[in-house]
Amino acid sequence: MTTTQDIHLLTIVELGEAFRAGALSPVEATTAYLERIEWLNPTLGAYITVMADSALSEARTAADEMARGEFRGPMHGVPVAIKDIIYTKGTLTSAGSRVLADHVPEYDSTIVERLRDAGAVLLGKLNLSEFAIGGTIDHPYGTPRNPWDTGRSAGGSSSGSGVAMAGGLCAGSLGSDTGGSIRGPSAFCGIVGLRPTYGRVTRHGVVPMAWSLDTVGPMTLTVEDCAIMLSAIAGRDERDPSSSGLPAPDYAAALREPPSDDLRVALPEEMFDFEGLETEVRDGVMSAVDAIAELGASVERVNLPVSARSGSVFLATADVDSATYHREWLRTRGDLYDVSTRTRLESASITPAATYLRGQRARTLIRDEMMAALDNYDVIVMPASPTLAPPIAQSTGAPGGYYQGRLDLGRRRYTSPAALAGLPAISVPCGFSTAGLPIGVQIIGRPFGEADLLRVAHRYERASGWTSRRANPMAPPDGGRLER
Amino acid sequence: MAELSVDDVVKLGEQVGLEIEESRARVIAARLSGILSELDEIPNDLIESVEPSHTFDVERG
Repeated sequence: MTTTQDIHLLTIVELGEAFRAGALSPVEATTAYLERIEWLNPTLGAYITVMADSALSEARTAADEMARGEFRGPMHGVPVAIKDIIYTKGTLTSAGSRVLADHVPEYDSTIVERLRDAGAVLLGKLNLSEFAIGGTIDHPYGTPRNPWDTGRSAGGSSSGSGVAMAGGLCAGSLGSDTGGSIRGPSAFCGIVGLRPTYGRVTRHGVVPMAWSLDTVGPMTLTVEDCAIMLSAIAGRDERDPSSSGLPAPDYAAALREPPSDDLRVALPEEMFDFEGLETEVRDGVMSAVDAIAELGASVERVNLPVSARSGSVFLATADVDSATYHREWLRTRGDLYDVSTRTRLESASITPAATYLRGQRARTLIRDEMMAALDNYDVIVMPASPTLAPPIAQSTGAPGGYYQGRLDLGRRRYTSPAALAGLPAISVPCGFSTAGLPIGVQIIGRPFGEADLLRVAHRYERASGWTSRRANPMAPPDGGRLER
Repeated sequence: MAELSVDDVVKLGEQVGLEIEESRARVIAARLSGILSELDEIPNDLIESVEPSHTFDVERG
């Protein structure tokens, strides 16, 4: 029996089962989430906009359909939330910036259309690093706080998406990943997050960060939920020429196919001998590697020397894309930007063309290096982040912060290779530090190999059981505990 | 490429229509120098063996 108090603990799969059994209605579920958002969002800073009225209306529609025996699929009636760079007709889409404080789109993104077609209930728009560029110092719509320790960062840039999932403020969320913005927050917040292959999910109606790398993907409690959300949004969109026409399978159904009995796993040396890799993270990821090996995989060490320098390649190329998009606003409305965002965009604006092209050549090398590894191995495994979630004060682009200098370049080596090579990559919880902070293992697959990737992640998840641990109750910065 | 100075950053900013204050220029000089330094660690013979990447053929991924 599901009570109002534990609805937020349910996965998308469990919600669907409860709806079909008549044990719970979408209206009850939506109401429970809205109450929890009202209670916790002032502390956690997950939402920028809560769409309570429209959410309840959508939930009533779903409930009416279900009462008639009409079930649209696994997302029907499920309360979800999306990163606030995804356009919603008639609702603020701020990109987490004062620059777009009055930006109310006149149309829905294709992703929102697809979620609505699937019958999902849209609870609201989620906080993020400004314009999906990490390192924001001053979040204009509130500071996102990690539900496992509210004094800690939730990562960036899909911070609100990670917080909302870990805090039980929605049943499924969408983030975006240009250079790690889904995988980082997923690792820090102890949830599952998938960066799809470039072109797998439409970006029509999504504020860009870097055109040649941007992806939108699910952030969920479990791998199966991730597969369900991906199926809802994947596939060709005539309004996005960068979207692929390759058929998108039923990813959840693919999880039930027999697993490969000769999985080959590559472990890149350069990602495990980095001086900035924290011991507890290394130990957590290696325990995941051991568990995957126990499932029958063969594991071998490989070298990815150029990918180990992918942080600078990402910043020399992706940031220039971004600076191009912001060119006019930087000149005319520069004071509206967070100082970290502004500094990074200004830096990209004066990046010499020769440096950009050197970066683009290095990107080719990284793509070749990653694809060569995936010719010999089914997946590449490494940490999703070299560190545990840092304290909020240290997690910014301010001098000495997480987004500055060698530390920034070093940590980017973990998320940039898949991004620069356009590959799918997933972060799955693989343990906790002694202080109770989550650790994420990253699994990278072949282009459009999401079904295989999810199957590997699902097998590991079931063997390890880490995704069943939830952050509740939460400890606020004063050391006290939030109790209902 | 030689390390960028704060003055270099301010002047480059002016050339693209940006007024970059000294406090930000200092951060940018260090940032760009770091990026250039790591990029330079990739051997030239490797770099010169390939063409620049552009947006991938979405059918290939």
